[in-house]
Amino acid sequence: MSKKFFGIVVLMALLVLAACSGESVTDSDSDNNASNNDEEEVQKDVTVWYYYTGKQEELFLTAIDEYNGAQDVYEVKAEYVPFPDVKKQLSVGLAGGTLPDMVQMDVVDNASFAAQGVLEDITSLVEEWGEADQFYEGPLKSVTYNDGYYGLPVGSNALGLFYNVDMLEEAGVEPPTTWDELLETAETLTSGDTKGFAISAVKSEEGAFQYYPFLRSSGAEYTDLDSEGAIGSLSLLTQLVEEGSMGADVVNATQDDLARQFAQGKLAMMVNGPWNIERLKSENPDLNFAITQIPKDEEYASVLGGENLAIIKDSNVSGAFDFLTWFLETERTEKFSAETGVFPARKDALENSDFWTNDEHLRGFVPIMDVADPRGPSPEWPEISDAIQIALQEALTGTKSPKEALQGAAEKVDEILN
Amino acid sequence: MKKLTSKWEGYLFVIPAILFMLLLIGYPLIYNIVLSFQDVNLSNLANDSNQFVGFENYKELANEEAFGISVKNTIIYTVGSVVFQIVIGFILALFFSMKFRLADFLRGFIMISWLIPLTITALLFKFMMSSGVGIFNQMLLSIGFIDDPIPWLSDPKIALWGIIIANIWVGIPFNMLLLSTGLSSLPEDVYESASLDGANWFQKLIYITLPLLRPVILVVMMLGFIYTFKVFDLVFVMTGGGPINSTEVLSTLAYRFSFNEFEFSLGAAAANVLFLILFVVSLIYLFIIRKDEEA
Repeated sequence: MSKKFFGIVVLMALLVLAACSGESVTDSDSDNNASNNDEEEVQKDVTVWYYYTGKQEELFLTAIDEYNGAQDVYEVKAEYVPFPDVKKQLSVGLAGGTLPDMVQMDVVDNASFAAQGVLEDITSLVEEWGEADQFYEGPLKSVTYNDGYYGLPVGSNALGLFYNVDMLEEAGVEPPTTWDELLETAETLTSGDTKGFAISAVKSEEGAFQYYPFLRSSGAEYTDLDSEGAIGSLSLLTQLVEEGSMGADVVNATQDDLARQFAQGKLAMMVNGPWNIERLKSENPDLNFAITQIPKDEEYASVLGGENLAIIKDSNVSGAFDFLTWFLETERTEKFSAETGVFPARKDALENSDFWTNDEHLRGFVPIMDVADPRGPSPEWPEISDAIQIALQEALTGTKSPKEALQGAAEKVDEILN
Repeated sequence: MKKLTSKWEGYLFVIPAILFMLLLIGYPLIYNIVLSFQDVNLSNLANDSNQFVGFENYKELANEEAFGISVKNTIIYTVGSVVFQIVIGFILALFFSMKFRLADFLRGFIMISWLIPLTITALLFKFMMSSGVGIFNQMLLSIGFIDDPIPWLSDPKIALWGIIIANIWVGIPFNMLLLSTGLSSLPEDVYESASLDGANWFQKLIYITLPLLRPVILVVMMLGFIYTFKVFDLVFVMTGGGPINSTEVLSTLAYRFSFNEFEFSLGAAAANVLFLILFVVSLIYLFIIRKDEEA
């Protein structure tokens, strides 16, 4: 008797389960139908996921209000998704059929999402719009996949060399411009608790991001990690650690950690980005620092960061694109970027204004923006990045020689790409 | 007849619990297992054309260099943490069972490390273990225990132990609390007769306390094992699995596969290995408990 009853209970439960999963399927079906029907008329709502915080968030939301007030064809609704959760939320939204129309994403993720078929190919719309050539080459490259556009860059940043002006003056040295000078200067500046130089070589995207300028400066690419140039770049960083000019714990230091040490005067030079300028100023108002190009091997190089706005496939594309181009109008993007202290992705916005060339810190980044390359772009970037991070950490911890480490990484990248 | 009704009623009371379990625990579990036998990534996540691929994901997982390392790390991490947590927790429990002034207050006070959110603990330890300015090295250097700072979290050979030390600190209060509850419930008369027989403190500990406390110790070990084995936050914040793969554990590996590389099926497979090991350990525990009860 009891067994039979238990059987019934289980059966009921299974039915409930089946009903649940069935429900979610019909849910997404009806969603699709709804969006199909609406497309014939004009779909009004445009939802956008953003991860701006602080001042940027405030101005972004103000801009949306302004847009909604200025016309009544579309109604943009913004939803905040914290930066570390964007990729996770996108996959969850994809599975559950609850994606927005537009999403803000890191430049490095754009290609992989495009390749996975999550994003809408807006090439024809962008060509019709005709302003693509006003953008910096790097940011524009980051939204490109298979020669098509899958979004537009809205903000850019790059890595530069931050140096403590007082410390360099005290030691009587100039900011280094070449790798040899970097080795020398970093050694001179190292004393006691204070390290001469640091990059973040942490095991995350940040590590690959920070290594990229050195890789690119040697003329190497992520596709030829075992080349002489690449090995030279990793040897440089390894040598800095071996000579003690760069702390061995950079393998565990994030870019924010570096900024903190730099603000406390424990670091004379570091590689970091413009988003940390405000932090440095607030943590140590007396800090006298400046920014210049990262020392070079063959040529000056940097790596591009920043964010794009991409449109989700089969969503309210026309509405999303309308808002996007409105938001990216030269004056608006200039104002938005200047007021929040970041770089616009549009060259004409930067050239229009003397804000960037006058700001004592940001002006250091103006020439850097011209040489900043996006990582990849490759849909397989997350895995490639992983291989690079491992090689970086292997060399810096002395587990493998730079050559062996990069050969291992090159093999992995070959495997990933083929 | 009456008996039958009451039996039916009994089952009715159980239904909500069973439904709850099946929905909230059973469904994700089963979904994860199904997922690990399919090939699901971002591009086919939305449509239902997921192919059944058999054990392909598990084969791929076995070929991943990081997988073997992460299984080994997870086991070292768990065993290392649990052993020290129980030993230190037990010593503290004995200490506080001496009922001195403020004993209860201090015992409560120690619970603080258990109350702090793990991410905060992780950040604090990362800071304290940094090789230049960290307090760990400063202290060891100043008492002359070491000559050079220890690269706690940046040396691949040491980093895992850095995290284990942080986790031991986190887990001690929990172990101590359970063990001291166990200690206070031990019958006094056994100790009295042992004293009459001339047993010393150490003999009482070995021949009375430990055997009587065995079920409690088993529970503590079991809970500690499960809690530690599925560690995520501590590792993720302190090292992110690095340097190289030296602190990669199964949970961070599964996360990396799923949400960095979008290989959801591979991530699910890694998570299932984690689950399977915990499941087997739980079965062993149940087996031991049952044997204890029979004896």
